[in-house]
Amino acid sequence: MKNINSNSNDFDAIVVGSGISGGWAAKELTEKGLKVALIERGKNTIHGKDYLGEGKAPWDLPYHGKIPEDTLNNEYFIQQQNYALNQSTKHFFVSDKENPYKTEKDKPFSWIRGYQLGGRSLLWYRQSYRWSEMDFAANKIDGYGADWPIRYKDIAPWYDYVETFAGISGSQEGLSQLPDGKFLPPMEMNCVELEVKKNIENKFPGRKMIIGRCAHLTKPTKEHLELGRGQCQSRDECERGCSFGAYFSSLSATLPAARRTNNLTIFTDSIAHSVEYDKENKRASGINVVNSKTNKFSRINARIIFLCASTLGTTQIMLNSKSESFPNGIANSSGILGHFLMDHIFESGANGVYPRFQDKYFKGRRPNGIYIPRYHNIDKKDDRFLRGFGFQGGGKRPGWKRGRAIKGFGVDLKEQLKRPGPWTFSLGGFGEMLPDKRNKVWLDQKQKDKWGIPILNIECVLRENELKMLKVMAEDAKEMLEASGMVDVITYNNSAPPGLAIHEMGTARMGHDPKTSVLNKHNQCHDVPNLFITDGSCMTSSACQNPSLTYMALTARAADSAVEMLQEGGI
Amino acid sequence: MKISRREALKNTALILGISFPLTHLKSAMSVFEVDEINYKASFFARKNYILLMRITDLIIPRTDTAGATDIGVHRFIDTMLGEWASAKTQEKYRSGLNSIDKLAVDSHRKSFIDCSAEEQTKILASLDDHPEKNAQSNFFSELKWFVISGYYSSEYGGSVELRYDPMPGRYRGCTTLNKDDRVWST
Repeated sequence: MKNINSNSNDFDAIVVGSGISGGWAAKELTEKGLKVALIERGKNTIHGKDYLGEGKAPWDLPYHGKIPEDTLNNEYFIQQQNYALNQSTKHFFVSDKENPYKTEKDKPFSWIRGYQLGGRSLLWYRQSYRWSEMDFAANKIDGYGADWPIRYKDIAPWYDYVETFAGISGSQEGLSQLPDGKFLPPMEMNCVELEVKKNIENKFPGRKMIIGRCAHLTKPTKEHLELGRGQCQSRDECERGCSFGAYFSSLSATLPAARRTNNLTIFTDSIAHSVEYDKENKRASGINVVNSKTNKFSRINARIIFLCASTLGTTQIMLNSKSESFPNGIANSSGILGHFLMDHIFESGANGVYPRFQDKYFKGRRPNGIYIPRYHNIDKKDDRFLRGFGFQGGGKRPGWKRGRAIKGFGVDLKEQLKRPGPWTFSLGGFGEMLPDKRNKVWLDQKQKDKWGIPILNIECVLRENELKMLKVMAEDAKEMLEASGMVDVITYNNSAPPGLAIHEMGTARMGHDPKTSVLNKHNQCHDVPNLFITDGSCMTSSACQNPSLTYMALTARAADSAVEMLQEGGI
Repeated sequence: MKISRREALKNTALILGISFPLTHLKSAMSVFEVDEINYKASFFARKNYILLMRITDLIIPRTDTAGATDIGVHRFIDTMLGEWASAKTQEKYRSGLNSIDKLAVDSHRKSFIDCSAEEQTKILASLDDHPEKNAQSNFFSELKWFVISGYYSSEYGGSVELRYDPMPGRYRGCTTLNKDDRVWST
């Protein structure tokens, strides 16, 4: 590894961030022959070796996996809202105490973060769905948000490309609102799911229930095997890390691919403080880096820069990159930077109990559920809200954890808990959030973090369209479960704070017009042609599908454009 | 001085004023060596430790398999309260156990430990059925959950009482559940 304090560390490209987008940028740029510096603010993490919780039984973890209450309350007061935080994963979550941000009391935003090599690609839930033509056209049609400068046809070949490399399992369905892709074999549905699928599809024309499409190797290809990746073992402990490399992460897939080019240099514990701007050449010239351990500053220079530091991370760096040319943050002549923050709305749906199939069970823990693709506002307009939502969920037979809700104790309880409970089925919606300028982030005037970087203020509120949609999600879920033969159906609508779906996006959006957007159709800053932004911050709308696959495709596409421009001498 | 499990159980039984059936102990004995006489609880005072032990035993008793006290779930809870719990949770358990003992004194004029098994079961059942009777709402239900989760996330509970499958391989969504099949523990 090069010495970060030397002045000779010049590269063809810098990639900031090593999560899903940064990993892809590093892979694509190094494979195209560029010498790349990958800057990661978190610690180094070695695939396999640093998966400290992997394979451990509950009794092998301290306190059976539970984090001490005082630690949760002092260190993880926000992160603890995420289901995946426990003793087996806590090294992959940030300390909220060390990494503060501000929200107003009545407008919470849950910023869930993982600072390590690989970022949140280690922790993601791995659902992988294409966007459709409808999603890229939505802003133009109903007038919310700027028009996307690309359409489905522009990104479709890149979906093919990233799916093939990442390994996405799924079924071909022929749905216009959820295009098919290059899939590995789908995972199995269990008997109750097959039954519910049949019922929903019979009773609700236009609705489909499919097995989730997820970034798991159900049947690894030669390309996957060559990278040392193997087949999914159905442990469903993915957020602990998987030394089989069976799910896609930067550590299992893109970084090994980038490393074998010998063009990659990784700097960990290196926080991107700001982008340096060269006024003469009108180009970004490098990244100012603070070492997270020594607090020492240094600069890394390169010909092109990809910011992939996560939606809010990237925008924070840009806002903090102030110069004479860009007093309000680099590439922000439009003043749009920081605005139009979105997440997906969720935590609304229903659960029910299925009285049949008492003699059926399952083997293994499928790290995936079912998906009901969006069905509102497709062929005909729904008067209640704009755009739509999909459902994730699935059927299960609960084990001993249902003991929490069982009355009684003693021999009866113990005998009951030896056997699985009746099948249950859950449906939870994930809905689109309209782009709204009032949902935004900005740098705090006074408070800085321990590295001297102004902290973010975040303001993001669900509004009328979102609240209506959440209500309909719960009603629709109940209706479908009851029509499928479920009993004791209970709805919920938990008003989860925005951010908690961990699909935060927007704040440096793409668009046609430099006056109303930060990026053009190549994810290139309108104002600074050698600066590219390909993480969630580039998003112009949110659709309702999990976004990571789209970040992968946009990143690979932008890397291709950038290298072409570089070769043609345009940047 | 270390005493044998059998003696310890006898001694404990004497303290608790009840008699344990000392059969079918083989599997439990290999899991946990009990020395309750010399054991020093890390969090609870002796009186509440014994009370906790008795309640733990009533929630998941020994049957043809080990019960919760056989594998030391009461000690797990004691350790958790000493090391894992916040001061607020610690206070809740201290006063929660005191309040259960007080219920026994109020209704039977003797401490919980001195009540008959039948009386003890009745007291807990009324707390289980009527959460509002708990000095702190739902204390018994929380304690019960602590015992359940402590038992089934232990090695014995998770892999002997129930089935543990660390590396399932391919997921199969539709298998047959036979009459004697235990539930998967994770």
